[in-house]
Amino acid sequence: MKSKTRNRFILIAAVLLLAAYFLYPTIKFSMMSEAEKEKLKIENQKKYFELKSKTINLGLDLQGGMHVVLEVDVKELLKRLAKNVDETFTTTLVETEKRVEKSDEDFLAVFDELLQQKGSNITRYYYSPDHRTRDEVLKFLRKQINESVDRALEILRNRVDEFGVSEPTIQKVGDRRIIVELAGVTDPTRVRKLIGRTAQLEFKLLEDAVVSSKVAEKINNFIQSKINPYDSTQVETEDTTKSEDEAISLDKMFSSDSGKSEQVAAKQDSNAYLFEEGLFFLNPRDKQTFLVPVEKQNKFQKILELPEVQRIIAEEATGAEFLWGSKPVYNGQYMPLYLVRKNVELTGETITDANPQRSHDPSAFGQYEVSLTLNDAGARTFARVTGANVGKRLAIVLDHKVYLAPEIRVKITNGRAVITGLDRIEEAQDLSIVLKAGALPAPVKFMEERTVGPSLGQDSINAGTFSAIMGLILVMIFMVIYYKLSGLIADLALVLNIVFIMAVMAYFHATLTLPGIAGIILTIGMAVDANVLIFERVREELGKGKTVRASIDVGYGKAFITILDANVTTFIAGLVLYTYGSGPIQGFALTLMIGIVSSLFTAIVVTRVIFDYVLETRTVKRLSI
Amino acid sequence: MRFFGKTNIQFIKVRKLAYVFSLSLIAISIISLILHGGPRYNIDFTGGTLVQLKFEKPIEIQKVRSAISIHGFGDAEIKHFGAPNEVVIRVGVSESDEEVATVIEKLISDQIKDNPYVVERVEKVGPKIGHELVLDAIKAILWSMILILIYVMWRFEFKYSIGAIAALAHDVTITLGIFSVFNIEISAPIIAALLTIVGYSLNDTIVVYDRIRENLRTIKRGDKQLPNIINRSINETLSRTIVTSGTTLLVVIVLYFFGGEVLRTFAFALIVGIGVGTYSSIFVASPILVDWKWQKA
Repeated sequence: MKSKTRNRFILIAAVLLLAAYFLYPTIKFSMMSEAEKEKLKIENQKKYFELKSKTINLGLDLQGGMHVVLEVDVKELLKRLAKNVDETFTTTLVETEKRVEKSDEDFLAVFDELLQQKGSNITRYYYSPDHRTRDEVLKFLRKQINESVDRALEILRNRVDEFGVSEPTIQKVGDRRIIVELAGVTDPTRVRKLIGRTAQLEFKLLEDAVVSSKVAEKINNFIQSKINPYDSTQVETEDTTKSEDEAISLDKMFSSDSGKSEQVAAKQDSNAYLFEEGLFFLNPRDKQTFLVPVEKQNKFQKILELPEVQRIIAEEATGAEFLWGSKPVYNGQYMPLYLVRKNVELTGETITDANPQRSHDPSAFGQYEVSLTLNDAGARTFARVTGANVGKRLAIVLDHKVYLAPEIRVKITNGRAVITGLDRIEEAQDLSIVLKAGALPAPVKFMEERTVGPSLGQDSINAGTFSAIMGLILVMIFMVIYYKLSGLIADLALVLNIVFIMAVMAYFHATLTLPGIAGIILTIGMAVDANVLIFERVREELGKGKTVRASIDVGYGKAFITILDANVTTFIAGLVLYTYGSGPIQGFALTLMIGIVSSLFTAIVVTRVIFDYVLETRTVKRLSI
Repeated sequence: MRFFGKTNIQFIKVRKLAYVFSLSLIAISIISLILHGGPRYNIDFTGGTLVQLKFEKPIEIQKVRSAISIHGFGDAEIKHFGAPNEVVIRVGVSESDEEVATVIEKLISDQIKDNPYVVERVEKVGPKIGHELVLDAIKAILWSMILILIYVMWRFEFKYSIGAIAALAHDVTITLGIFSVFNIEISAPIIAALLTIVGYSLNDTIVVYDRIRENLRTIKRGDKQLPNIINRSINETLSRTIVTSGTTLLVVIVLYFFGGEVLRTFAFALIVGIGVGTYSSIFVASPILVDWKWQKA
């Protein structure tokens, strides 16, 4: 074999290996049963998502799910913020809505303009000591509109795991739109409820460090007893010295009532996989925070739900519950967990404003803080709560998730508090959004809503796969009939082409949609074009009486330019489509573009190597073409 | 095997006839579009609600219509979708804030008790989104034409890009026209199909152009007249044009029949487009070159 041919062989082999490597997770994942996937998800969340992120993602139109586009409902927001609402206000609002509906005009600007035309003034409805003039009011309203997108976004992100969807997409698009994509969710009313529900912002006290450690120790003992049953007696005797009731009740559960203990034993078995070392520990720097490795979060949540653990909490920390933190800490490795008193000390509706700012304290240079203003009722409650709990920590809880648990330093009487010690401006901004979420509205309206049921998705996959295979076989048969052995070589290139398209999709964790499948099918038809061009050229050259070798050289050489020019134009169309299209259409553009690039490689490089190899190893008098 | 040996069909000689044929198709398309008040957009563009239901047993359209008409959905468009037990209900944008899809589902559950259903698909598009989509679609088609024009100008000559663009406009207009004549709705995927047609038709055109360019360079004497060279180039590439169009049409036809109801109109657009695109690269894009050049000379 000539060295040039050999090098190309090595190149192709390397590309093939790479493709196999990229495709392996997708094949592995699709071979797993639903039950196995579910199990892996609970056992090792991290591994599950790692595996999933290397597979080809199925679009919502194929796996079933919901795609929702939300937009800030400016009309609703203006309505809710307004005071002294009268007839003029309401009619103008409706008129503005009608006018803006089909134009790209700004809602607020049109509203203000129409109010002035009617001899009214926007300040009449939004006047406050903080903003008196028309410009100030407009500035205030504009800020409210912009901020409400972020509030809605934050609330949605916070709540979305209630769906238990593996890869929810919540994305801000432009200034005031949010796209939500939930795979497997097909009930729009659930999403509507989730979004429509008023955000619950609450302030609750953290349980003391002593209690937290005690609960931690007991849960740990419980887990240890499950991991190694022989040690459990030892643990229990230890416990007896501390609390006799506990020992008796445990005793009861495990031995006295035989019927029950069997039940427990059976349950114990089914839960056995939950228990292992290192599920949680107390934060060494903060004895009131538990840390759970993120990949174990699902597991630990299941353990917390076990009746035995619920009993430990009820006995050791009456009136408290475990609440997860809002996001992982320490480079995203650990999820914080707090033991929080259930009693609500203050609700978010009392917050009138919250703003991020740079710290004024020279000792906290470079740090950020959030200033907080409460209304009169809130200020009174806050004074009582802070007065009675100086030194304790007050958790800021949005929809059952703890955002932050700052310490109460002093009694705050004037309704103005400052939360200090934030490292980054983004943290301070996020916290102010959260603090305002409980009081300020974030109304959104559904601009677009698409739901595909799982059975339709499966039908589409089946129909798409069938058409692809059928199309492939037909084209392959045609090529062999029309170009004989050369056609067979083109067929090989075609199959490789499809493997490569899938591999590239898997590598980028790209989304395969129904139009995307159509794109692949179309590529099957078009990919042979390069080979058709080459073969026709080779036939022409052979017709002129050239040798096989020379005909192949000239055929490939002359056809190459044509192939390139012809494919660039289709690629341009794909690129434009990708830029302006959305969702499924982008999926189509994507497979089309990948298919073009990949077909250039398979149709030109792969087939050429095979021809070269054949011509080098044997003397070919007549070409089967 | 080969469909064509060395052919010498006089494409250029019959070009006037082809022009008349193309122009009359375009005229029919435009007239149909005017009579229908523009392309018939589906809810992706107009806004509205689509509900696709799969019943356990075959269901009559009339039954569904009477079930939902008591709530003022009498003018809804109701059609079977692929199978007699599947229906698609389309309702335009409603004035009220009510959840059209939920109301429809409830009405049908209440009225048609002997034939339970599952919801296969719900699409609800606000009028504003639809309006934006129309703009995006127009932008997309214009941009792709402009970019392709620039590319062809760079690789060939200005005159060639005129021929290419004329062929593209020809293909897109006729495809839209055929959709209009058959009263088929234009959905977002159809725009994708149109753009693919743009790319595909050009693919064909460029292959011919490439051969014209090559022949202009290599043929030194004798048959140097442009019409002859163009005619010869079309003939030389004819076999390839037919084979590639054939394989592409083959897969698209498979997609039309077996790809499922959702992709059917998409596949239809591609079938029409590929057919028209192949025709135009032979009978429109290249002959225009002849007339354009003669005028200049």
